[in-house]
Amino acid sequence: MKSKKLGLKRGLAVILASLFVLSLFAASVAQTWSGKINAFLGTSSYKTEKSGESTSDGIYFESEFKTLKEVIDAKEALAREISQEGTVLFKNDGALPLNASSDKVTIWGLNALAPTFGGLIGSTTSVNYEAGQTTVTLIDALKDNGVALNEDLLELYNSSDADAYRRKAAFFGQEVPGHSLIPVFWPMFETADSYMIGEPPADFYTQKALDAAKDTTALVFLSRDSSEASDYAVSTMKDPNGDSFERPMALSDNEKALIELAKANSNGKVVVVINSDVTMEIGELKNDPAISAIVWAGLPGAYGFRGVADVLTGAVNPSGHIADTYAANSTSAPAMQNFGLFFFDAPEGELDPGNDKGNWYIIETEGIYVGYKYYETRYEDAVLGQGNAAGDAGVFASKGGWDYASEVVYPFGYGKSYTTFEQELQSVDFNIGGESKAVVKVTNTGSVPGKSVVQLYAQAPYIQGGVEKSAIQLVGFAKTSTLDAGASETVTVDFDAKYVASYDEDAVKADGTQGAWILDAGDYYFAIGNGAHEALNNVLANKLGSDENLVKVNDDEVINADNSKKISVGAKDIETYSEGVQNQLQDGDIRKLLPERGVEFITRADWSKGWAPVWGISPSDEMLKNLHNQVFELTENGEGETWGQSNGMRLIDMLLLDDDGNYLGTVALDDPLWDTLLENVTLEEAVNFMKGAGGNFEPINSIGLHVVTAYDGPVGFVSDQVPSYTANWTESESGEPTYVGPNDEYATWQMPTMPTEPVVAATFNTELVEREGELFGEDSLWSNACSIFGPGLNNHRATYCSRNHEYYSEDSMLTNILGVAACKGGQSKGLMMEPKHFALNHQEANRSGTATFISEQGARETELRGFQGCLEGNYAQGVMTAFNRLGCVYAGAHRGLLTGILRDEWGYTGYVVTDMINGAEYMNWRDVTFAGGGGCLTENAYESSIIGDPNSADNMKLIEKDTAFQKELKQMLKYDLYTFANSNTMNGVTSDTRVVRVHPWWETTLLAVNWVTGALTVAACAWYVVSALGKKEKQ
Amino acid sequence: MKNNKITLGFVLTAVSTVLAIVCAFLYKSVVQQTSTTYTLLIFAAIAGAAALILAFVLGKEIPNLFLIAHAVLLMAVIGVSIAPVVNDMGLVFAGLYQMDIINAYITFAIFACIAWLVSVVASFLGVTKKEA
Repeated sequence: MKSKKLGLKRGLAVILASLFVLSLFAASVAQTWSGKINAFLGTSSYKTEKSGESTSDGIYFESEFKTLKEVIDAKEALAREISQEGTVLFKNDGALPLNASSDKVTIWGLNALAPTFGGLIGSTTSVNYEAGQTTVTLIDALKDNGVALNEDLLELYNSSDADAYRRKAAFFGQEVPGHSLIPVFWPMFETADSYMIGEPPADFYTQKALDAAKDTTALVFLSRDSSEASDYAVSTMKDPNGDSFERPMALSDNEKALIELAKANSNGKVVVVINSDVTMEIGELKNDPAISAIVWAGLPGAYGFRGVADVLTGAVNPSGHIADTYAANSTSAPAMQNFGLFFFDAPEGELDPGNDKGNWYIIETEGIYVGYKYYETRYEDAVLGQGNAAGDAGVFASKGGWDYASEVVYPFGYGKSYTTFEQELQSVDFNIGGESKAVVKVTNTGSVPGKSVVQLYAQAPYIQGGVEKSAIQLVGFAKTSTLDAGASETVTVDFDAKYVASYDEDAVKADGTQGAWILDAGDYYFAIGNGAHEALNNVLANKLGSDENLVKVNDDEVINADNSKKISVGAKDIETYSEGVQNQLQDGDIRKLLPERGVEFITRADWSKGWAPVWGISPSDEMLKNLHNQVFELTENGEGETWGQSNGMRLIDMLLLDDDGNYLGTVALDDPLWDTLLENVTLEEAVNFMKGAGGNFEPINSIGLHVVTAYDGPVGFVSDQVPSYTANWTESESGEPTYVGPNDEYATWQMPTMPTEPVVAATFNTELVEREGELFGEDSLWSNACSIFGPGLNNHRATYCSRNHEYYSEDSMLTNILGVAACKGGQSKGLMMEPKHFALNHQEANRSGTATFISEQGARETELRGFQGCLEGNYAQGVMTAFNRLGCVYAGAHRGLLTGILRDEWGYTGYVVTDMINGAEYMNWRDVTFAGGGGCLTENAYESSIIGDPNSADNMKLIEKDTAFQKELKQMLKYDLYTFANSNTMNGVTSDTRVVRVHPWWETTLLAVNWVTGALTVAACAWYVVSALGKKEKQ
Repeated sequence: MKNNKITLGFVLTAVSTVLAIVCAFLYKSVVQQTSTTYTLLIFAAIAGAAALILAFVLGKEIPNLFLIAHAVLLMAVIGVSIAPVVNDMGLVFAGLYQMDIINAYITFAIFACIAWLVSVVASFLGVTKKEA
């Protein structure tokens, strides 16, 4: 009996001890995720306290608005304006603008009822319907603009008969209208049976609905989804409801039937509206005389359809120009030949798709020939009869040899207006090493007011077989004000000659280093045009002295040799733009890594080469080493860095204030004071900060750094991270002028409402983009969120990347200029703009760890150029690295990219952070730090790194011994602190501010559970031991 | 076994010890690993084995102390191993990851939980039994 009692006591002790252990680990896990838990519960683990000694109000960046409502109204108005100017008119035979007083309109297309406003993931449009915030469809907007709609067909679309055809992506266990992609973060590719177009077949339409549509203007709504973590598969498919299509970007059978019904049941006016950020195949619509007009709306966010409706009704004259080439066949770009899933040919088990994520790759054989740079360059060579340009290779829509008019529907930069403009290129100043500009006179020769975009392109002299050069490249642009009929305006387009230069990997400079930006001797042409094609035609007309063999693809194209200027450069220049420049990305070029494989890239020298998909690459031993992440290791070296001093300096001391406490900036980055400040930080603090530096940055008490917040964008702070304007505020901050309390009427309104980046790009309006950056800055001030992951600056390498909606364009220069504008706007309000994803994040399929091989010239002239402007100018304060590898090395740990180019060449002084870590070892913090990469967006990078658990004394000892590592760590920390000091995260911080650790209720609860289970465990163990001893004595 | 018969507690301790060793092998397939988990599993197995061996050598209560350590270490295994999987679990539940990424962990965790439960029952019974 006594033995049984002892057993009970023993068992009880085991259960309680186990619960105690479990509660300890639960508390530990909860601490790791405290940021998320706090965000979810609306609690905080820190608060700031002031002693009252300081007289400063601590407001260094001020809002231009008095109330949150004003901010929200300004954003809505700007969203409308962006869409007004970002909507592109492709075709118009006079059907547009609609006459709101006389045109009754039938909306054709089930997708019009639930359009795609933004991405399913990434640039997701979110509003709080419960709080009265709403999204606006084109139907709503047309009604608001006074257009009479045919309700019969809308009634049919609203009926349950249509339910089976509606697009509804399953996401987070819920059906999301207006989407059809299925995102997957694990190795994936969009599968054939999962994609819905979302339109019913012809027999869905009742005779009553068709009859009601007669004598009305048909507005056909075509839509395609976009999402992060998903790509379109290039294949013929049948959707689950029986619709089928040759390719996802081509019109489906049901869409074709829809258009035929619209044509047959209308007043003869058929207007097609395209709600898609991926370029669709619309050549047949362009060539169909029964289609009156085509309008591209893109994914315009919560309110942008108002701007589209303004264009359709003529309230605003369209002035948008498309930021991607619309090809006849969406797979015809050379990049599409090596897009998708490619697996290394390695022995079984050699490569690990789990931790290393090292099994897959893509080879960007197109080099610099992305988007229009391919189509237009091949066009010039076809006209000039060189390089087998008119041959069969790469033919997709042409009959016989390659033919531009068959392959391209709408060229990059094209867009129509309701009026006509005459542009005259008056002069071009091309100054190598100086400021360059073009002067253009624009006259509205039509009958209605409107804005005109001046696009300036350049052509550098191409030497057959030499460095690859695009026949035409955008170097700058400007937009006029609204010009009345007959009015003129002279605009100046400033540009930088360095962006006309080409990167020559073989050039050897005077200092003996290899790799340089070159400007060859020869004739340079600068031209304007309504898109890249018209500009190139102007160049060719100038070059050839005739437009006889030149091809027009749109009826309003004008070929004018006078709109092209030739400037001759006498001597080749390889030094002016090459200071500190040398090859940094040679390990990304598969031709150099595996010369024996003989991989061919696209080249002007012979357009027949480089078209083959490159399958089954067998990695060399050196490549394998990097694919196994054996990049850097911790060693014992040098003298230790100084940490943990107490010299009294705090971050607030780095701010420069005048006598009245007004903010003047911060101490310069190269000032030794920063080193003095950093000496106060302990090594443990530095490690803890950097391992989670990206989401909510951990506070550093030794220098008075509070929690710094950063969240995803880029169309506004995402609602799953910043669910409301009030979520980030604590009561202790209620004195700040932009504080939003929970009782504010608009406190729970959500922020990601702006149009997606392709729509923004189509405005070709830097003022609007800068204003958008400013309003993101206002959101930052009013939501107490200090950094946004955006803008997205990757280029649209391939149409089938369904994340193109998060990036501006296929053109890196357009991206560059808009990136600068957006970041300048945010910076002016103290918002830390954090462009992403640096670099080469060109597909979502297997994005984690994809080894991306590219020529250094290709990388620098396409992708990197898009980032260069805002990072080189330090308009961006952060930059997020990409998931993929560059060559075989993780992009976030590529020293050539991050230190060689970003820091040393560009002089970037902001911080660097990884993208979200997904438990994979290839994104480890050890390599990230050694490469100059900085912090980790999520702590998993640290946990998954070989350094391991920061709480392990052994691992900290490794870091303590490695001075080189510590130096990198300290330097990265300096960049972070310098950036914070220049941002609005310092708002509210004064010399008497102290960061105080507090325990939110959930922490207290967990702590209580720890104590209770701990005490019970001790009691139970004691009871058991005493009983056991007592029993022994009796025996 | 000194003055003792083979008892149910002894058998269950043996089972949970074997399960701890099985867990160590299963853990090799888990994507989200920590070396601490291996260490704890080894110590748990050693504690279980020590309880069994000492039951032969010493009998009475001392082997049961190792049984307690065995059970608590198994719980620690569960606690330590779950931390790196939380993120991926969230993504799977959100429908963003396929189950593949946590399948191995779930199998491991089921075995670890069974091992712990068995060890708890064993601790009630004791690894030794005094002769009547």
